Amino acid sequence: MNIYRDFEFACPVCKAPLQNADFSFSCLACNRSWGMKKGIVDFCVEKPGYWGEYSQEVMQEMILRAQQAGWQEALKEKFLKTDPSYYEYILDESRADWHFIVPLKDDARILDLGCGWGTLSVALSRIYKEVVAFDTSASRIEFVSLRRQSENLSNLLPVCGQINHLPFSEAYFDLAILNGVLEWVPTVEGGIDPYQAQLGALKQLRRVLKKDAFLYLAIENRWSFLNFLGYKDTHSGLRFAPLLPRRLANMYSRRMRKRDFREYTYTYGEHVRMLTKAGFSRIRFFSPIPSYRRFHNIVSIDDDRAVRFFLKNLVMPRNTMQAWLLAFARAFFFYKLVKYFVPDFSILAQPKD
Amino acid sequence: MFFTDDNKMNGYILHKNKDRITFFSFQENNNEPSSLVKVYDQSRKALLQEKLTFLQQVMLTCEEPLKDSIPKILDLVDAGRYCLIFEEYTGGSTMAELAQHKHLFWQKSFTAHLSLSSEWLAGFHKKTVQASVVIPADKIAFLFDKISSFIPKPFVSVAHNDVAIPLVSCHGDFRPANIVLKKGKVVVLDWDNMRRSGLPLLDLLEFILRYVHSRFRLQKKDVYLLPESFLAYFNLFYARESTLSAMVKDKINWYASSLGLAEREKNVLLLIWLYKMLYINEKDKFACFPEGLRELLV
Repeated sequence: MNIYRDFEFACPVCKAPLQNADFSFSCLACNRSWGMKKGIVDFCVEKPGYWGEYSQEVMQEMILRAQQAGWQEALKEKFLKTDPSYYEYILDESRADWHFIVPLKDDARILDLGCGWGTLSVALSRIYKEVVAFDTSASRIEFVSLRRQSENLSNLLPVCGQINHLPFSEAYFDLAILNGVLEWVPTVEGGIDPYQAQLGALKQLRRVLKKDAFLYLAIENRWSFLNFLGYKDTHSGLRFAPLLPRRLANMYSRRMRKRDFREYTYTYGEHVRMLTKAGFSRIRFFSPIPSYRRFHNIVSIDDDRAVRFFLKNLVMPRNTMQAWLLAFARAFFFYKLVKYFVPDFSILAQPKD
Repeated sequence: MFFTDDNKMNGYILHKNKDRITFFSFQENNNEPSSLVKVYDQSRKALLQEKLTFLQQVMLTCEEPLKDSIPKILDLVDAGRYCLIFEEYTGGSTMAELAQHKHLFWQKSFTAHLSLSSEWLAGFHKKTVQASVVIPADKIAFLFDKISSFIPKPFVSVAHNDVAIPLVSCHGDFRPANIVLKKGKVVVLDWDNMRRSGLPLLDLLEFILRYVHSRFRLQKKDVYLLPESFLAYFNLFYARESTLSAMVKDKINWYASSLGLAEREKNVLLLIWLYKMLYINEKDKFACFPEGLRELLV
């Protein structure tokens, strides 16, 4: 069955509307066509790089098992014993609870870029009108598709494609999600300068968003206090690497792990500049705590009162180190600086008029 | 989703709890949140409404220290899949915060906080007393046996005949972080886990356990997870001879006598609490009279 029957795609290359034939899409303007594999449309223009916590072989194995025994069972067998916290992470739909801070109506159209296991897409498709789960990895999209079938979510559309070649027409979505994705864009896209790759992706996104739509961007902070304390960077596994000037970080990375440092994260100010350059305005910063992957709180860090109240009332130190850090943050006027050093950012931005 | 008004987009905190989300929203020229918005699933609305009306009725006729000791509900609104409760922000500091700043003199603050909260609890429980439940002697003997496998030298002596215990309304999550001190007056927050009829004393024991846990953190594990870690705290404040346990026992006796509970009724309640914590805790963490226990005992 063609699940994309009522959906209008645009050509990922020339952006002209695509003709929907039975099991393929063709562009009359540039004579390209895109086929479907196992009922899922594949809009990849070049062969993209792969990113994932687990290798492609493992994913293929998972999918085979999921087809036989159901996706829950496959996940349980794979992760429940070996990595129980990751298992919970995949199943935990409350990870999408940040949607309460986005002023959306129920008939919103949502684009989840880099959907991974599809947890956010599934959670949001229970509430909003239409959710497109988009990923470069065909195996992950296949997994989302299995999840969609077993949960009967007809408003969830799994689409495989590349972030720099989005197959959607202009001003189509009310919300685009980049949840822990932007920092991986340079690795997956390859080639050009990491900053340019990220900026390009944001510009592409800007194109498919409506005028009063939102971008939700969740990403680590380059100046996270954890980086200053010498914790390992979650992307590269290198201590202090995000803090160094990019060229130095690159040399350090080549020496330590024999490849370039491409997992760029940014500071508060750098985010503002990059988003403005990509055509966004009305940028609001939040901090998901303890991390955007699984948060218990989201604090609007642009507001001093919220930061102060949070530090005073909602944080309990669990050890001496935390108690010291907290005392430091609470003291004097340091709470005004807290927003620059939070571990992660959740950013809401709207397209510039 | 419901913060469509752009003014409200400025300062707020989203705080996730077990099955609800709380928003603290800040408005102009005010350093404290102006109100709380609690977001629940629509399916819980009927139950919540019933609880709130019951609580308001109870509180209407109360005198000090219970008067005005729960936060005011400003509004209850339907929003599609969700149900929103607008609540007044009480201000003040919770006992958990106060205890945090007084680590050196924590026993002093513990004594003060314990007497304030036990006073409040005794008042509330007296106000909501219901018919008694009879617990047969053989069930008590069964509990006794079960507990002896954890505590070799039983510290409670239980008479082997039926015991009648009055039921009361329970808060269900009576921990220091839910009790606010405002100008020396107690305000109790978070009534999500309230039960119309439960067993007395369990709320007070929960308070003591949580308080001692937050101070000592004997083990990294949560006090609820492992029987051993629970027992370590229980030894600290009750089973072992010390000034702390003497004080705690005093307070428990005072509470029991003010509710008119005799010695053996108190002991049976202690046994029930131990059984809940050691055997059925994970299943029904908050309930003051969990289903599993109800089936077993009555």
